[in-house]
Amino acid sequence: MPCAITIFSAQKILTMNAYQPVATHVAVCEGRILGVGSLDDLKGWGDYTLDTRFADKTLLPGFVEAHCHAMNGSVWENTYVGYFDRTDPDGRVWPGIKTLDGVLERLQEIERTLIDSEETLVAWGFDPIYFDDGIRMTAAHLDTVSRDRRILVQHSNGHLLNVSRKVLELASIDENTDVEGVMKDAAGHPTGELGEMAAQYMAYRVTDVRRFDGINANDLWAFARTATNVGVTTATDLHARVQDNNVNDYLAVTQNADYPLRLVPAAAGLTLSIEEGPGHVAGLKRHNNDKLFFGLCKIMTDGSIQGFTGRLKWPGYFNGKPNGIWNLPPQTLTDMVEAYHAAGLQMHMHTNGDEASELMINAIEKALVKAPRADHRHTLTHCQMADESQFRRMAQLGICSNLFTNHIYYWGDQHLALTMGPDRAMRMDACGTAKRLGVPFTIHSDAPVTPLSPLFTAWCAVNRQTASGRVLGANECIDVNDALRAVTLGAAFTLHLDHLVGSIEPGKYADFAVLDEDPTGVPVEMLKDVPVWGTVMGGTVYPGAHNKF
Amino acid sequence: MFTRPKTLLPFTVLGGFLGAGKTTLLNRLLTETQDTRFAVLVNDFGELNIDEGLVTRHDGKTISLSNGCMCCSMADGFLSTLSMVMDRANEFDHVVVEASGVANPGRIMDIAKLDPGLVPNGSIVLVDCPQFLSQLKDPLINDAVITQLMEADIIVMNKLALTDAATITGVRRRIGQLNPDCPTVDNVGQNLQPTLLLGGDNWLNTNTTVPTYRPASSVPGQSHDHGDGHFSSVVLRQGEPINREVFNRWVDALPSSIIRGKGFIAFAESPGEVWLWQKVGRSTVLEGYPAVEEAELALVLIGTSAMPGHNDSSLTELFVKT
Repeated sequence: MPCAITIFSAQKILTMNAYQPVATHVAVCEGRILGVGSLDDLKGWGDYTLDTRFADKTLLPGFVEAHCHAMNGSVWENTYVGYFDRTDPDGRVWPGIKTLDGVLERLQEIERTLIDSEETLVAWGFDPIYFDDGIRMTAAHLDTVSRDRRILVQHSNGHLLNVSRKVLELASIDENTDVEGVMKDAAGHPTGELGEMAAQYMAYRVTDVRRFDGINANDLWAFARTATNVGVTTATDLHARVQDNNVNDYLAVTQNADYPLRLVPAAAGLTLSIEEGPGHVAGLKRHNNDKLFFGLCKIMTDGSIQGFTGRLKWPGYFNGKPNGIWNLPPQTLTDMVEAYHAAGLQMHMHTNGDEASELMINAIEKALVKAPRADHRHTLTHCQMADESQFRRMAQLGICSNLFTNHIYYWGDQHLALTMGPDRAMRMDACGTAKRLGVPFTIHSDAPVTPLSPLFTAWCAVNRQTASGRVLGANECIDVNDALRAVTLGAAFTLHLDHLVGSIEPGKYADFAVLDEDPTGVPVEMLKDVPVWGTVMGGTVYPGAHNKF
Repeated sequence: MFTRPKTLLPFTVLGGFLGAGKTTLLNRLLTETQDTRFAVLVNDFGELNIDEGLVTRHDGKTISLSNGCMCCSMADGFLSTLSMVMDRANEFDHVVVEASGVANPGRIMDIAKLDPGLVPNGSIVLVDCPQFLSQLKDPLINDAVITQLMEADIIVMNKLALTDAATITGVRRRIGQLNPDCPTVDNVGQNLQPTLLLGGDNWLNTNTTVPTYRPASSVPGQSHDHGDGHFSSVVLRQGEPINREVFNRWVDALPSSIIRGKGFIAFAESPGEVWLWQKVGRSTVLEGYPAVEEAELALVLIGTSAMPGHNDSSLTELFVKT
């Protein structure tokens, strides 16, 4: 071999490679895997450097996250006030806050650090539904932080916002305001909690908060740091704005030799016309490099189940709420599928409710009749409510699924009590059914909706445990090996990248997740607690930020 | 940083399911307007077919026209697009939003109720008459179609020529159940005047002058004062101050064939004060208007050809005989 060969030794290498699932050494040359096995097996390639720093670690294929968003990087510009612990890109753990008083204390701490009185204080991840006392935040609570500052507290569901009195005043929201989404107290005064588009529009109009107009290079670097911390070496940006400035930023970071992540931006179909979108997305492929993979398209169909905006088939929401919403008319969504399919492109379709899944299965079937194509790998992502008959059709039509198992932990109790009821909640994110019926599947975090952490996502698929500790649908649990496969080769398959990443075998990129323990050697309920040391990406070692403290 | 604008922009939402004819109407609005600079937010430029001779600038996200109008694509999201328009509010006289085929126009109109720079000018919902009854039977979309109709301030019956009388009767009956008394306009042929539907050129920009009715010159030779088969209008000039209770009863009795109304009025209880009265569809608003100098006290009403005219004493009895 003309190149310099490095052989990494490890306590154990889980390859996801069927002919040799376990090994101890992997040889790397020019960023790719030369061979896997024992040291003796690899010596035949010639001179090598033995790198033993992982001798007590377990290597897996670098994790592949097929549904997350690079804005996971930008949320950390603001203050986290969520209920659950969360780790920032620098590896600092922000403890979950369990009471409203605790949230106010954290905001008061931040207030003391702000010098410019005109700066808007923005917090994110707030989720009062978990508070035992059911208390809601009001503008009066935020008075204890500051009477004069513009403060926005974004709820974790993305649909609600709490604002300070200053924001209400600037937006002229008062007792005379009569629009949906402006919550009022018994006396008719706005509480400061705003839902719906119009109310939030006004709140943002009177602040200087950045309007989200697609990703920038800073976001992409922060995103990659988080990815490294949790062992991810390939990640989607699954609703990407693909205008020239965004494309240039994707290009700039991935052309940097130090950038530790392969990016798969999925063009947001909503931001493109049906006429021009397919050509534009196909044209983006000319920018592809070894860390950038354009060509995927994201189709948004319905809303979310916990927000009661997912589209459900009969019998609908358990608590009787009306059916959810479409982002576009079903016929338009069907036309989009046909157009992108006909252009030879692959789509990941956001479908939360089972009616949305059905619409997309029908659309793909129709598109396939018009333009037969083997191995399209169109993927229903979230696919939370799909029933067994839908999984059967997906198998027949070659459709993949990307299941939102993190939902079981974060909202499973709400699904049981409010959205689905005890019966249908058990079939949510049905990994067991997908496996049994032969539907290729992966699992995801939808970060920043829930934290990026494939081991946690795998733990959810294995244990199906809700935040309250209940097991939701034990028959849909999968075993640890299947869950680890789902977050590596399974995800790579749904991205059409399984020939490049997702397993440790010759010819593929030398991308590894480096774990402090063997995830198959711990009790299954501990899977999420296996520490991640960092990654190897393209043969280069990237320690997680927590290892730099 | 946001500052409160000096003039209020009328804000109109154009709703209706896919295929109802929103784009066709917007095309005509953009090309036929004389004096009103419309900012029109659309979902997609794809189907717009603006006369190239009118286009002065096209940058991918916005199309500027020589008549002062601008068309904006909402590909970057509705709220950021509207924010961009509002940052340039002084360049426009009227904002029109094309709701997506599944959107609830009422939730979009809430923005105009909140934003002090905007004034609600009605949700106009187009009905695809040949498709409407089957849309109501389609479980994937009927909830969206019903919500749109229930939230409408003005309903336009569209594509009437493409269906039969029995269907039209059925459509009218269902709409009557969903939104009784909502002013409903028939769009027969292509003669519906979009600028009139939105209130006429400069309809709501006359902060200090009498809102005079201005026929659109693009349809020469037709007398709008007595109707062109689609719209009629009546100007009512006030002589003596009117008792407020009497006026309110007169407003309540206006028939649904009157779609819009606007003007200045004074009441007997306080003859020195001037009030701005506006009607959009079913809703009417009366607000004190202290800044008016030398305002002529008069109301303009716009309605369908079925609206009462000057010879109808129930309409004119409070006002100066012409």
